[in-house]
Amino acid sequence: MTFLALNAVAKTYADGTIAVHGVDLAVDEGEFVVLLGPSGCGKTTTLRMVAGLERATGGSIQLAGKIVTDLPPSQRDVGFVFQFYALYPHLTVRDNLAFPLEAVGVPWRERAVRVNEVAAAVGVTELLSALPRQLSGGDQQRVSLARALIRRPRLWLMDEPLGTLDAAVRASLGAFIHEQQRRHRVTTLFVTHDQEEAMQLADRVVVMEAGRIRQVGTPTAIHDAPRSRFVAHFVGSPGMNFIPATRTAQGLCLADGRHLMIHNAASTDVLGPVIVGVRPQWLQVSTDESEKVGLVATVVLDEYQGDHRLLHADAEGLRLVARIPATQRHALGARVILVPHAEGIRLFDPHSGAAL
Amino acid sequence: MRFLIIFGYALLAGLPLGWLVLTSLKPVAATTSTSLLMWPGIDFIPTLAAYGDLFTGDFPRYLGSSVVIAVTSTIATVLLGTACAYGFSRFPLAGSKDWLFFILSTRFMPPLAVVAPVLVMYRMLDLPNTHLGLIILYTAFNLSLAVWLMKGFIDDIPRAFEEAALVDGYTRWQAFWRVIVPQARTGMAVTAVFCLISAWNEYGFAMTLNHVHAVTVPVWFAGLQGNVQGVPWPTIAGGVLVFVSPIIVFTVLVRKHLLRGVTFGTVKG
Repeated sequence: MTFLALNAVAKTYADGTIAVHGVDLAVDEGEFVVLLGPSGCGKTTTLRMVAGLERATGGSIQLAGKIVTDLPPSQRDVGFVFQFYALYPHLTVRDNLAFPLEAVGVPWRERAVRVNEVAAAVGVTELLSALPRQLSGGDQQRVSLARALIRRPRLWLMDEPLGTLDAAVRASLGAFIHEQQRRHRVTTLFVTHDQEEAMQLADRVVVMEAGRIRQVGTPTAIHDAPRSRFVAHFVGSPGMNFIPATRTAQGLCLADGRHLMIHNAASTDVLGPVIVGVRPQWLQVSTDESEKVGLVATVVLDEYQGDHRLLHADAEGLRLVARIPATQRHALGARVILVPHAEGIRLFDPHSGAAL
Repeated sequence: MRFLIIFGYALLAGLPLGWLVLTSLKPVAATTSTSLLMWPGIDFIPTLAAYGDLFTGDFPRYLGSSVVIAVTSTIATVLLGTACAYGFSRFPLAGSKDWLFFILSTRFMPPLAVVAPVLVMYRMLDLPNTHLGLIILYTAFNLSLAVWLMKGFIDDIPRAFEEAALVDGYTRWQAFWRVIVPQARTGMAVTAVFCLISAWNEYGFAMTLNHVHAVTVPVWFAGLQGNVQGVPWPTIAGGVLVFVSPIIVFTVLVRKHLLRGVTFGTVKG
């Protein structure tokens, strides 16, 4: 059942800048949806419009069957987690947590009980008497999560809550958010520019670019079946490689006359120039000169990653990255042949960038 | 070296105050002596007569007027200034830069230049010789300073705090009082010190407008100098000391805030 619906929601600033061009999105009850995109793509603006912190200049927002487009934030019953925590610096952790309850007139006896409850749930019980500035970043964000939880809102909105934390804290807090969300089944809209974070947390990922939604789908769908070059490149670490080629009846033909892949085109395929997309893990690196198919390239960089290596190679100005086993070594400057695995090949239109 | 400079400056600043203390303790005759009478008990016999005269006379009443006028106008200025600065800081007002410049421009003119029109206006409104008259005037004059000072402080308070309060279920007005004001305390203390000092010491308007009722201490001091029995220097000195002490006490009380003025402005708190 749709819980949150955005219908052609748009935002144009007073100076004429268009931050969001009519976004449509339907989020089911209990779903964890991640808005993913590079900075300036309108994801945070979209989130803030759902919260009511930013006024939509077009379209409508429906929350639990009610149009909330023009309601102030206080009447939307949402919990918001800010990137920089935004804990009230003059209040102790206890008072910070009680603050939202006070707004809705919860009697103080019950407030105390609920503060203790939620503090225990996020593991900040010993910190209740501290002031925010005495806490580490991770702890501040825990408190901030607790503050967003305590009123038991129907919708959680999170604006890059893990963005400023260091790696270890980020991983543990990310898992914590995931767990809390699964336990309470609170509908969640989560903004991030980190695609790994998006993959880990989301039921569905919404990829945004330049104020528009580019693709909505499960993490697997976004990763394996990107609908455009933008999504293909933005998602995945590193992103997809792109190789210009020509689709002929015999297969994919490269500019130097070699074949990237040999197969018979299906009768429905349009022949002509295409962009071939291959993720680094689908590129095999071979030194066998007799290899018939594949792209000839020179090794320019070898990045050791612990359990694998990222081999950067140059094919006449075209930079490609292959993910290879950590044990496989190639000297810098060595001539290699990059052979794509048939399963990993995606084709894109050279002009529109849309998936074929 | 640093010690020497500080010591020298302290001496220079403290000397007049010290001399005031001495004068307030002298008998009247000793204050007009042409020789340097420095040592109480040796050069002159110290007496508290001046303070006795001060507090049995009208001085407490004048002091009362000064307190009512300065404190009320300071509170009004700080509250109005903070609310106004919040508006300028947070909302896209049409021509807000021009408005701010206009507010500042009210300080361009020397206040005494408008004494005459103010006097005429006040007469029509029956405001001369009232506390209210000076309160309104001081508030109006200090408001520009308050708005500019407070705008700087409020600009430094990240919006995320009030946005958090908004989603936590508070109205904009509640968010202002519960979240912004507590964090603007430093700025409000600084502004209050400036406004209080300016209102407390103001002489020009006070002298022109209030010479019968609601007379403030500076006006009374000035009046004493035309005394037919000769200028009562010890009483004036004593009065000055009593008069400056509340300001010193207030400044010391808010010192913590004044010094903290530089350390805030980070979202992480």
